[in-house]
Amino acid sequence: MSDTLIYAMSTRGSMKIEQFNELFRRVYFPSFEQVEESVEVDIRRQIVRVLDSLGYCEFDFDGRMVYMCKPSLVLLPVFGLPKAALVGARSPALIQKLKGAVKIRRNKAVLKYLHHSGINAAIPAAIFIEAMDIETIHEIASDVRIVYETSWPAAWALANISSSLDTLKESLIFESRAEPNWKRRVFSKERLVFSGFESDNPASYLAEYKDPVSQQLHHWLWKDGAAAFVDRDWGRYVFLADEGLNILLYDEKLQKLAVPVTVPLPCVLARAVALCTGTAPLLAKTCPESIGTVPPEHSVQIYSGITHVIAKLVASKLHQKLIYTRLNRQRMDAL
Amino acid sequence: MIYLEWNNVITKYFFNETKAGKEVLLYVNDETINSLGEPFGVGVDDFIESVKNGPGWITRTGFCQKALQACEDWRSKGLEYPPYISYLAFFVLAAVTETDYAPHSYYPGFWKRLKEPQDAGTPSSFHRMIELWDDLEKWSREDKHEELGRFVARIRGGYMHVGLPRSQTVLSEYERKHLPNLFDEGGLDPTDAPSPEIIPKILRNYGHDVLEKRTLKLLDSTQADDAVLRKALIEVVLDELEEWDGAVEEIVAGEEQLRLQVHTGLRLCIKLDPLAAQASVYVRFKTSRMFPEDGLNLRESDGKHAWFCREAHQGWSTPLTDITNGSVGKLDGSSLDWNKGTLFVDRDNHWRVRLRGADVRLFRLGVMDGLPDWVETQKLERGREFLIAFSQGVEGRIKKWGEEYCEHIKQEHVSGLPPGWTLVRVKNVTASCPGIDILSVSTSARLILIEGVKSGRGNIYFKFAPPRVAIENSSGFENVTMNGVQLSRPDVRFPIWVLPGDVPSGQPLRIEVNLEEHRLSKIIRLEEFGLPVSFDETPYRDSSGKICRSDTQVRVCGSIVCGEKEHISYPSLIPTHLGDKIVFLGEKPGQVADWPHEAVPSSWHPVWALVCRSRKQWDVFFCGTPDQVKIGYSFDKPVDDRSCVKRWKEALWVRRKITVPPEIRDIRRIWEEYVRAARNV
Repeated sequence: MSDTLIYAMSTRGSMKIEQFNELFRRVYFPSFEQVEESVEVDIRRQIVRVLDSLGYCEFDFDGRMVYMCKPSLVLLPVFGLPKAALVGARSPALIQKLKGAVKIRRNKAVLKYLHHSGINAAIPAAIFIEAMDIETIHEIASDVRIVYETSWPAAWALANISSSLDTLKESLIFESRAEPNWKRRVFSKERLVFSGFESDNPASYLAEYKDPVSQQLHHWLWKDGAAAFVDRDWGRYVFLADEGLNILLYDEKLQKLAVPVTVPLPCVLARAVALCTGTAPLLAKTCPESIGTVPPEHSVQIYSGITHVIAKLVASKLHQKLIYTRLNRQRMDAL
Repeated sequence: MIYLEWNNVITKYFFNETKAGKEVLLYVNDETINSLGEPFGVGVDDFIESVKNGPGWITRTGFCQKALQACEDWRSKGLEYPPYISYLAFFVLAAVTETDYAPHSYYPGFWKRLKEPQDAGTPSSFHRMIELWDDLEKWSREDKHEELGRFVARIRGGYMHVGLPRSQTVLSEYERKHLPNLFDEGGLDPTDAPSPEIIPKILRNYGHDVLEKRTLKLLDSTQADDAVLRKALIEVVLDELEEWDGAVEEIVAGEEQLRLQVHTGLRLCIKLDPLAAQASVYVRFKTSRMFPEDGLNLRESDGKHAWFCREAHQGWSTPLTDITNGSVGKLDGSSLDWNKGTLFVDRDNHWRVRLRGADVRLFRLGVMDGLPDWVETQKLERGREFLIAFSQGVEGRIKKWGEEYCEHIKQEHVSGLPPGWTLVRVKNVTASCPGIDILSVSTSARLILIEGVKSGRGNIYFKFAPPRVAIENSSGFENVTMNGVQLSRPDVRFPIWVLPGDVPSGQPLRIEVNLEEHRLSKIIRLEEFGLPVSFDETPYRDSSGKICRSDTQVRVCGSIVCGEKEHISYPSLIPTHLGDKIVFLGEKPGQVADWPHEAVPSSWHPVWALVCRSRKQWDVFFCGTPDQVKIGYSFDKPVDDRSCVKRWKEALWVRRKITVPPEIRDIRRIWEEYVRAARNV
């Protein structure tokens, strides 16, 4: 099923978001258990985020389009032998070619598959090439006629070039504005979700308004009666930073980073952490006690293979301090 | 207008992208012809004159001979559309022409339109017009892959040749367009169509504002000839119901534009626990519309409680759930009024979800829909197992019917149902229960294609995602073929057949089921598809993630960073994410670190990371330098600590049989050198 989705998307090259939704509906068949659990997580939205963060495609929500990216081999930030992940569009023929190119170099390279399971079953199988050296990866990419980027790990490059909260804050223009009379939800710092039930109006808050005609969502950051338009993903982190709240959980020993599902990382940073392993993050629930500002039993995405240096870089871009904790099975329930 | 101009106008009206995948009925009457000719200042008379003349290359004289000549070898003429469609339209026009003859007579209308004596009998060569109808089917299904609609040459009624044009007249375009209003008024759920047997009753009850007199007459007719046409009408109505997405336009006071309101039907679901003798009832629904991104908050008319749901999969909602208090609790379906029904509304998103009131409710196993438990349905099918819940008033009738016409009927003695309701389990129903619509058993089966991914709007599927073939209301004994080859049925419990893996691509694949009374068929085509030639359309993002121009200094496309950027080398660290227990080994015998009990080595560089997967399996990862890859193992003096040397040997040599070596051959060779070296230390 996972490959069906990406093959169909790749063949079309680009499509409207509505067409993607239809396609997703046709190919996504969860197990009974997931059918029951999914009330808490919008699976389609999760899959969209993961496909985007793994560099398979670009979702342009303003233009309501999905575009596949060029098939490419990108370097993972691993230790030892160089390892590259296949990202972007793919087709059965491309995979065959790739297998062929690796087979003739089987002394020096190996092709590895990693099938996702559970809620992530809709994510394409991760395909890696591990080789004795970078040159072998270049040769394979050239044989298959795909792009390669091995000058530095994609995760490291993305984490470095990503904007930071400082830059974002500089671009915000706070002005005295009249609040629209559209349906409003306010970001709750206790529950880390946009909620329609927040009654009090604090001095600063992040509000979401829904245009009743276009159904588009608009986000305004309010501070002492003045408001600035803000991107939803960045806006949440601006608000959290202003409130001094930390929500990124990190297990240094296991090199895992947990990000609340309701506070996803801004797109470039999400790609940086996803491309540490090239696999989808595990969806899990935190333990019955709150960890830092993360409420109890909150859904989180757990990214693996996040070295301390990348975790710190990502956190610093968001003015977050990592909350050091254990992210093992005793503390997390995989969804 | 000349013949071909009329032909193009008529064809475009009936066959266009909005009809993709749908059955096209070539219903033509005076109103249709006049409206199509209006922009050109012509009408029915001009149309008839044009068909009398035929296309420019016609040399024959008889009317039907001209039609045949128009069809002959037309594909070689470089025409956009089949040039005989105007003739077929004329034959249909004749079928709706009133004459002084009996209502079922056809030929008088034909001659009347041509201004000839009405008693002239069968036109010469009329029996060969079936060739044109067949060619139209071939064009729409095989040439055009149903991208402009699907025409099916059906012979309806007792007269073979007249039956073809007549079958086009079961429903006008106007009636088809307005069927959603009828469906809405009748409370029909497009995702749960009722049995074909009760459709006439629904059409009669709710169709007076939508259906023409002739359609209502057909529904009431008791003539044998009309039975076939009535069946065709029901098929078309059911197809239209399944195509409907549940949306209706409503006029709202104070709003200029019509508002789109989505309506769908709530389904009760029963989870049976036989050991505890307990039935837990919850509710969900199915829709062909997309759910709002943030889900739905549905309230009953008292507005007290908001019940939340979002899409689970395949258009099914999650169970309606109360999430307002932080805890998650499903709506107890037994608390609803099953007899009168109830309505839930999401005012912000303009959705209405209605539980139909009924004295008898039917449930089938959800497994066919990928759901757990028993899910409410409106259709009783042959050869399947159902649960029937009923209230006291109908108990006697149902039990009597169950004993006579069900292979098996058993009462489920469970708690958890609304007061006064009883639950029975029935299997293999053979006849309908008189007077209870929902317990009508249809004798007709339907061939449907499920799953699979279409490449476009027609009948072409990706070869890597072909559809599966399902028969609704299967008798259990059907033989399903594809181009004459029998298809396999992987699980005899379900009437689902699969296409073989070696199906050729690019060829028409005719899937057929031969039933006693008729044959069901669908034509599909599988296509191989490659990657797009170019990805130039794919946008770039700037460093904040916003879509940007392709000349932005630093930009990202997918996972690739482009443009001018400062290169900061990656400070790679020893991998501890590989597992919970890792033994790091260096090149010198005795260089060993048992992580996490010991720290990651800092004074020496590990070459191998041995990851413990279980007591009986260790995986090896190379984590040395490029030089160590080139050189391989070179003998080095062991460290002084003998216990470390022993552990180094144990990891390499003693556990060698439960250690999975590296996959890359040259790395495996180096590993084997280390193992051999460990043997001798």
